[in-house]
Amino acid sequence: MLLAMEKNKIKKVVLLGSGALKIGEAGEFDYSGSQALKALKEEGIATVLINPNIATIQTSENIADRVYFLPVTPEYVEKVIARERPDGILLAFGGQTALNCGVALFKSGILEKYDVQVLGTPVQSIIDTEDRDIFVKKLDQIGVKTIKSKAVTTVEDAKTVAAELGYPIIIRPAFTLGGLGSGFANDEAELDVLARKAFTYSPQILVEKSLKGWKEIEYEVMRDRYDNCITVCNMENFDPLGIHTGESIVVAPVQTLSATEAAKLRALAIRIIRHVGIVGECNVQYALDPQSEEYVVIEVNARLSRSSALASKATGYPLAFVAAKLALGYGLHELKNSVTKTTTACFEPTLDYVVCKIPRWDLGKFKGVSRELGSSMKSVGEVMAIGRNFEEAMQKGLRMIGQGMHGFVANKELIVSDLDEALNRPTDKRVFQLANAFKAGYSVDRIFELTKIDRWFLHKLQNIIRLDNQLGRFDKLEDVPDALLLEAKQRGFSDFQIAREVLKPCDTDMEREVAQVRAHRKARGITPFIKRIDTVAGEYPADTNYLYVTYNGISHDVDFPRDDRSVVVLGSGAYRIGSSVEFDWCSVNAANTIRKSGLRSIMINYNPETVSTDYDMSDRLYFDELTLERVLDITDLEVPRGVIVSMGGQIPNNLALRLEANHVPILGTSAANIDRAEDRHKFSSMCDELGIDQPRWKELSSLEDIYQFAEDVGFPLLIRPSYVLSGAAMNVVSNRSELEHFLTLATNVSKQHPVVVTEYLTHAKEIEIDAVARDGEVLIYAISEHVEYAGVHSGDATMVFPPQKMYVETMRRVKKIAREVAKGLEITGPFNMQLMAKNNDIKVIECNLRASRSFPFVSKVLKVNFIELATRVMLGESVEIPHKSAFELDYVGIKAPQFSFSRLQKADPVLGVEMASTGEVGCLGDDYSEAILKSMISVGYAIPKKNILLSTGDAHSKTDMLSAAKALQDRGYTLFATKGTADFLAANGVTAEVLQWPDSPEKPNTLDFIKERKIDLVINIPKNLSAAELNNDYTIRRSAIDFNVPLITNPRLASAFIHAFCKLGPDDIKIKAWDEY
Amino acid sequence: MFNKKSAALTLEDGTIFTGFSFGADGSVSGEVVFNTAMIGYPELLSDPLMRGHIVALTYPLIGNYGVPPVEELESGKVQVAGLVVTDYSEEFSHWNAGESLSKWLKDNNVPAIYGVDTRALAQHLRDHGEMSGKIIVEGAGNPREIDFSKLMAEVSVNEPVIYGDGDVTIAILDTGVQNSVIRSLLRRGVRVVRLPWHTDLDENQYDGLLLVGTADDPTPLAENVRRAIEKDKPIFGVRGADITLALAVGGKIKKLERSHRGTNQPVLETGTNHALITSQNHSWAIDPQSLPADWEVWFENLNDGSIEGIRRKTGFVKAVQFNPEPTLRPEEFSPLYDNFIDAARDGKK
Repeated sequence: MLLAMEKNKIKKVVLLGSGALKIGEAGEFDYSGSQALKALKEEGIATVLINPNIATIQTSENIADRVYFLPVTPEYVEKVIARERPDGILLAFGGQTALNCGVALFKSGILEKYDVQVLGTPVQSIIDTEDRDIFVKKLDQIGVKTIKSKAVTTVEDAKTVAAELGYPIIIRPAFTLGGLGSGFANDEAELDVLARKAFTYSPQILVEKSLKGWKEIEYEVMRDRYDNCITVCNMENFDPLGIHTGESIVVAPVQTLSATEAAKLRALAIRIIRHVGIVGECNVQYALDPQSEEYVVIEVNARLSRSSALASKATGYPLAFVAAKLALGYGLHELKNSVTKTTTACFEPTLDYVVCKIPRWDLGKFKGVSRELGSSMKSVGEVMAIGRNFEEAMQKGLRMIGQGMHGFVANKELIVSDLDEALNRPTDKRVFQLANAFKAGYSVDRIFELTKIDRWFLHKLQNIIRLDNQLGRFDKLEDVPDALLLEAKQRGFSDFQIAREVLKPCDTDMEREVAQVRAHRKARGITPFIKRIDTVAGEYPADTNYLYVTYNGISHDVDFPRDDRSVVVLGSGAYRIGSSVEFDWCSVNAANTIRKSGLRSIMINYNPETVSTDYDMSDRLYFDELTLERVLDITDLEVPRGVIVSMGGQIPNNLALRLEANHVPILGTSAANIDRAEDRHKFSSMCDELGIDQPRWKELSSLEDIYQFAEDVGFPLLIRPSYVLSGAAMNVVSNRSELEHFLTLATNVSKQHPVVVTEYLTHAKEIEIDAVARDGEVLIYAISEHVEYAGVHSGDATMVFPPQKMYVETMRRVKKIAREVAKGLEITGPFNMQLMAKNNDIKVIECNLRASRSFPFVSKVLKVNFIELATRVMLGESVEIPHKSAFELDYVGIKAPQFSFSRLQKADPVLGVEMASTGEVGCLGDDYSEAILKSMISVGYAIPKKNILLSTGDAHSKTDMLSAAKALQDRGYTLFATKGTADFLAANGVTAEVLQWPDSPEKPNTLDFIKERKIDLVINIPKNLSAAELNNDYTIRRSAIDFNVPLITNPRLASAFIHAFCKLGPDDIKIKAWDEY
Repeated sequence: MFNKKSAALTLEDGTIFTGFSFGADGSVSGEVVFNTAMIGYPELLSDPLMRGHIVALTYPLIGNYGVPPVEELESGKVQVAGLVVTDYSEEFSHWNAGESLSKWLKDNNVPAIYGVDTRALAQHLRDHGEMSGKIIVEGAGNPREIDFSKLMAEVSVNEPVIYGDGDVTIAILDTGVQNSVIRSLLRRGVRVVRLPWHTDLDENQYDGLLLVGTADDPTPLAENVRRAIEKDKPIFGVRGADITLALAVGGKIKKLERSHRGTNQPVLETGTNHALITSQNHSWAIDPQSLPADWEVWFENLNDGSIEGIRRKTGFVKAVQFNPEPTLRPEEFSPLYDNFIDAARDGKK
């Protein structure tokens, strides 16, 4: 058989990852890559993974045989291929990054040169779907309609085509993902701006007639080498066309299509996948006229995508796993359905529930960014909610996104000046404006006119309003009829919502009222049921562990052994700025360790982009909310041995006290001690007792006190609420008016947890320690240093481990402080501390009694799994203390942040105390410079060819940058600088040509040079960290982003990068796998 | 939304599922079956072969897109005896919808319940076997029993009906033919004669014979069909007509361990790597041991290996258990019909 022959031939396969998480390319590719690697492993094929994203599951031990933490670029991949000599390569599992890299390797003949076979979909098929012109022709051949559009290569051509098609039009650059650089233009002037920008991303752009208001429908299709095809899932966007699907609420399966429409789109999808010749998986996006069966194909993605990850989680069908098997030559009918384990993989999953995907935005974190949603993606994460009616799924989902909302109703009111406008011009908050509109008496038809959201969805949302009004007529729980209470729960109302509508409490702390609702409904027998996701709607028995919670049922699908052998791990929820794949890595490793210890792991999480929500990863997966109510629902049924709250970041951490109050056993450090670390006041008192230094601080009691404090300590000051991660509402203020402004802002964020104002040190070194302790004794630790000075959020900082520029004395003191804190807080499990060092003083900034963002990084660099150790300690197992020390490492690890500013139109790409990065990489090098270069290249920087623009801020940073400027001059780079910087450089013997500020009419001008891409690297150091940034500096930074010129805004990082590439050439970068360090 | 009137489904084994009525007032009995299709309730409910059944849909959100014009459906009316769903949308939204599902059901005097955990119901039927049951809407009396022996007569035409014109004549023995099957034949430029179910096939002239399944036991058809097979005209059977053919040539049938009821049933063309996703609705299958020597298995189910199609080794006499949905899935199923028409044309030459 051919099959046997092919499989024997393939002995080693390279898989390309997607690199750092960024907007449009996030955790879904960790999931799909991990699945593919699992499929290859099952076949006994050796796997080599290239992915610099060190926090992923796929780059962990025992997933791939070999891991290279290297940039996924043709240059590096070629070097790995030359070294590894694989038989095959998989391109479809690492997003657009991997696909683009694969196409480049194919076109340059590298794959042929090394005789590497592309497994699965042929490269030509990929090119056919990616090149818009070919794509349209290809679909024309089979009579499939595409958007009336034209590919152009100049701005003038774009204008001509737009005039032919008629405005409004939409522009999309070819070969990008997440709609990067695309947008709508209503007239020629708007087109001009848009097209110019689009051309910086791609040499070819597409001008299309806009179909705003049409339905947007997606199909996930698979095809095997025998031409057998299945459609695994269809999905419908709640928001009509015009909003990028990554920005839309998406519902699966489709809700408002008739059988003929759905069948037609299904048949087309199959016709397309056959004609294009895909072997594996692809995604087809359609626009469908809401008034007829007229359709057009928007695009086809010849690879695993965000939608395919969602489809996998929505249906239970492991798309990536099966796609990898198909790539190896299997037929669909030769594979088993891994959910039922008895039936075939050649079938189409059928759902008996509905899922709702809702994007998570963090637009508030970026200065100046536009909140309007459009054809370009801005969301940083997503949630998937499962229910047995739309209202249940939707309300769950709106809670899951973690924006302080309690569902569709019973939220803090969002005040808008013009409701019609808020409905008509979609923003990240529009869904909540729908509730406002209903409450303001708008009819379904009126809202439809303004939003074009299908009336079916609107009617369902109106049901929620109706129930809300009914609940509001009662003041006592006892008066609410059981039938109404049950219906409210069935339509997704939380106990909180019911408490707010019925009991109408006036204080902000509603814990008592919510507990009353819970107690009342339990007494009335109104409790939820556990259902399985089994891919077959119950037709066949399936022993799956993939579960969700619903009130729309009469029986549980599973039994609850209650044998004291299960342990619950609370996951991390939606990815957001400050909490992403790192915490998923921790959660998955905790679950693995629980299993290894002979216990059963129960995972609760609702993020479809994660590996932790792969039902293979735990003994039971509850794909559901991480609210107190839902966790208690589950622990009431499961009665687990304990719950681990320290792996999923801040969401589970914040539940600790309340879970314990509800008699749920918390494993590891006690809830009271977690609170002592989180509560500023308690933590500081402890530090004072232990004699540990900390920056001076003050809790907000009265404004007068704070002003007095400001006078004593002096500006700048740091403002923040307790209990936050990633610096929500955290700000540095340099004067009294800023202080007033931000104090109000911070108070709004959290009423329960008081605001704290802290002394802020400038030019101090920032240090982190990640550690695991048992009964207050530190078992293992890792001390890292930041390249940047304190003041850059630790998530945005470049982190070095082991530290290369730290006094031994400093390290000794940090270790001592960690020991004292561990003892003081009786820590059992993971913890992380951030400290500042200036001169010989060390001050503690904060302490978290949970795993931190850097746990996977230090674990992988040190090659000791901190999470496994922490979990075993929390389970009460005896562990051997690892004797591995960072001092023994003869290599350096560097973790560098990935920013997504290019997607966030108008946002100022500047760093501060609020975190702004969306992902990170971690690379290893034999020395500091090599590690810096690898990590910087991995996040998209390139070693500049010739021209560098310097604008280096205040006197201090100018001095900081001087030696780097000299190094550049010595290496023969041509330097350009703004006036002040050029003068300073000249005075110090460095020649730089002066470029005028953007607002100057004089030439040569910085802006022109950036726009014409005459500059290879822009170094722009902001003069201070306050909000009042000079417009000129902003324009330089923003233009660099918009025109795709690498930008660095921190003097320390700029120096490190410059010194590294002046010292090492591209050939000095070693191609070494993780296991070779 | 509307006034809630309670209703209950009581199964033969005494299990009761309660909910609220959204169909006709009254009561009804029938064979309770589930269906896992996520879309296409108007087509399913108007399918003549569903007559006498109370159908429970496992997909919970029903009614979303109302009911399309009746001439686009599988027959002119609601055929099922009753309908059971989890969540019903009275407010529908679709450009092609004429009325709500509730109104359609009421106009056809068919009771329906929402608010039932149809997953639990399907699991119950899966584990305990399909059984009869009754829907009783609040205030209604006990229903009369369904007379299954009359179902074929109820769904069949009384007199032959001729559709279209063309070079060949295809006869359909109407034991419950769907409109879409007739439409797909007509699209191929043939003359169609729709014969009452009891028509003596010996006395009819045709170039090809199309058989469809039956809502109940097809044994009464066996002798008639056996004689038709001997005529050596091309015969193609769909939607369970494989059972009719098998019975006609002395084969036996057996109850499936689990019924196949949904639109996602995988079958493999025997001896090939050609797999198809099909729509099925059956609880019986041919016993493979009982097939005469000159017959062979054509399609088999990829999940349980049961027979999904048979053919005679010579000539064009073949039938499939599934519904080769000619309108909804032309990509996959057109060849089956094309080959049949080609055989009819060849036979005429």
